[in-house]
Amino acid sequence: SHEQLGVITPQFETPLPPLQPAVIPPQFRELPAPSLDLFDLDEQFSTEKVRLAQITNKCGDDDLEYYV
Amino acid sequence: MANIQLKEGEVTSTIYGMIKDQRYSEAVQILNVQLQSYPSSRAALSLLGYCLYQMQDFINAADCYEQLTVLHPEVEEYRLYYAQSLNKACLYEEAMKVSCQIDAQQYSVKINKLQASIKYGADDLPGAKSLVENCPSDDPDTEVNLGCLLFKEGRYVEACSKFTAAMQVTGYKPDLAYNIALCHYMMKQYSPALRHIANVIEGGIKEHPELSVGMTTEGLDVRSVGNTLTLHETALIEAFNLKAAIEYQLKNFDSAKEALTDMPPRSEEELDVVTLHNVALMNMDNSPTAGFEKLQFLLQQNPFPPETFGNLLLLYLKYEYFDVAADVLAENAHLTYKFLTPYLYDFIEAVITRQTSPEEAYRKLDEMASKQTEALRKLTKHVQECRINRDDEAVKKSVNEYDDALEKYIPVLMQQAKIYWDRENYVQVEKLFRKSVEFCNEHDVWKLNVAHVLFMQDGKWKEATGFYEPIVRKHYDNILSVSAIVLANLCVSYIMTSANEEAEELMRKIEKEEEQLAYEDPDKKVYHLCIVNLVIGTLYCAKGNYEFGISRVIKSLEPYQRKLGPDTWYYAKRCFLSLIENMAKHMIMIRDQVLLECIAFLDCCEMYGKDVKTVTDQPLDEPLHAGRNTVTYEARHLKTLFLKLH
Repeated sequence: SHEQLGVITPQFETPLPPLQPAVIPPQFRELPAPSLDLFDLDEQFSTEKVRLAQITNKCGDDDLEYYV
Repeated sequence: MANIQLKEGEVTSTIYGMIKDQRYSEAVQILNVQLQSYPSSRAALSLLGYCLYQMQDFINAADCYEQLTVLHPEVEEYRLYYAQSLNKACLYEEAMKVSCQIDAQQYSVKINKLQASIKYGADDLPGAKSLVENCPSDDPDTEVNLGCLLFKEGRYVEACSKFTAAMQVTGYKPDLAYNIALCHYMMKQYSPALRHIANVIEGGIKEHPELSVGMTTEGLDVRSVGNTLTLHETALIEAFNLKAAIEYQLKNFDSAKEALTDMPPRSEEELDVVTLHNVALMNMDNSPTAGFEKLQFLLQQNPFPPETFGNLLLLYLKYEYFDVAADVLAENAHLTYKFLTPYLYDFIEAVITRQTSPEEAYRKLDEMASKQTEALRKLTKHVQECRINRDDEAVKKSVNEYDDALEKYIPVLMQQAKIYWDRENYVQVEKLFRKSVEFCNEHDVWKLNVAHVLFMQDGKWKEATGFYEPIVRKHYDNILSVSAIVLANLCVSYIMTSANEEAEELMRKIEKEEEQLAYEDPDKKVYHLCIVNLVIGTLYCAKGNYEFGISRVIKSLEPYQRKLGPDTWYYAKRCFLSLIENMAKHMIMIRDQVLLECIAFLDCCEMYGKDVKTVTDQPLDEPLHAGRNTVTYEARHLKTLFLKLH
């Protein structure tokens, strides 16, 4: 493309509608977060061997049938 | 961290200890390992759900509670938590379904509240409203929820009073303070908004120093604080985004960016959609490529901030990616109705059409313009009526409305004018401006473009001076804040009307300010005087006086390390090319001395131009050839042409 040298054409301003920042909308009141259940995790997550031992300790003579 | 050894007999204390210290991610890791051995462990699932909820990882929390509802259908809480998690994960349909399966009487109030929240989230406002109206009216939550509904209806004054009333009952709560600030923001009452935001931020810093507010701005590299429930409860993310939004609206762009970096630090993957959007928007100037990536990514998210779509399209237009804009508009036809106002849609479509069919675009813009001018006339009348009634409040409001309407009209008018401008039909551009004078004569962009269009019509130098001069005079104490082309064109207009004295005085003034700046910051590039000289030099070259013109151009770029930039080089090389062309055609003779000066000049450009690009890379395009896209390369090329001719 070729054109004769002329005066420098200034840039014609074409402003755009303004950009809009985002905001977090107001939130409805929430229900309380889930409550924390309490467990004896040592009992729940023990290895099988330990658990067997625990059950053994708990068992008396009357539980023999269940134990076996 | 991956292999935390659980000591026999200390499992309970270890895990509950972590939860107490809010080390949720560590707890989650251990619990996940346990879950592999005991896939149906109620303890593991329940604690995992708890921790994930605290970490705001609602999708995975929902998963845990879902399994618990299957394993323990008798525990109604789990069904409630399941529905709650789904709601927070924005899975509204599923949340509603689960919430309907809870039938224990003792939960009825909670379920009602939850369902209202679900409907609100899903934008079913009438549905949410009827549920909220069933809630006990003495519960402050009901007041807050009604406030949210009023807010969505655009009734900000009433919404604000609801939030304020709720806070009077419950005492200070950061989320309520945020809501109040937000109402003020929507009504453009920025100073009360900022005051409430400051309270939220101060409270957050005081209660939770561990959230590292402001550390990133200070330049400290801080670890992510994660998206914890604690962070959510401080409303800090909300407050900092709102602060950034206000500063952005006030055009304090640096403060806007700072508000975003002041926010408690999180990694980019952890950012919520609003923050991600604002980071993209407010850093467009320095990292447009990343900005476009983020906005395009957001468009795939559900939900994304409603502003995303319009902003992305406008930014495509700004960077002249008209085809991309057209594609995105076509691919997302379903979004246009929801996210674009009719005005914005018409405007974007017209600008895109301008590329392929200027006539069609002009017609569309003309239709828009008549709508806008009609609105402006009505508002003018309204302002006058308010003045007659001496209602100050109403005057203020209607003047604001008029200004808003004018800000909508100006882009339309300028797009229309640009169609004629590009065809160099300056007479028509001037006509358009004459027609719009009654609305726009106070508008800066309008005045500037009027000046330009007079400047471009040979023989209207005097009139051009009349428009350029006030712009310059307005900023006479800080002349470098005026764009260089305005200063240059004013100088040219002076010279063309034989007012050389004025031109010289203005140039001395610019030189003085540049020297002052060079003293304060020697490495900063300033182009004003350089561009003025380039424009004048070009003018002389264009009139055939190459020896004087070229010497101006050569002088304009000294010292090279401060003056060589993509734009200045562009205008300098145009003059050289024109000189070379005229020499090749034997139209002009140039003294050897001048030619030697040209070659010496190009040598200097070659030396200082290694790191100066001739074309700035575009954010969405492949970067240009690194070697060729330098002033050094082009200067060498021009030098060869000179030597060939010589």
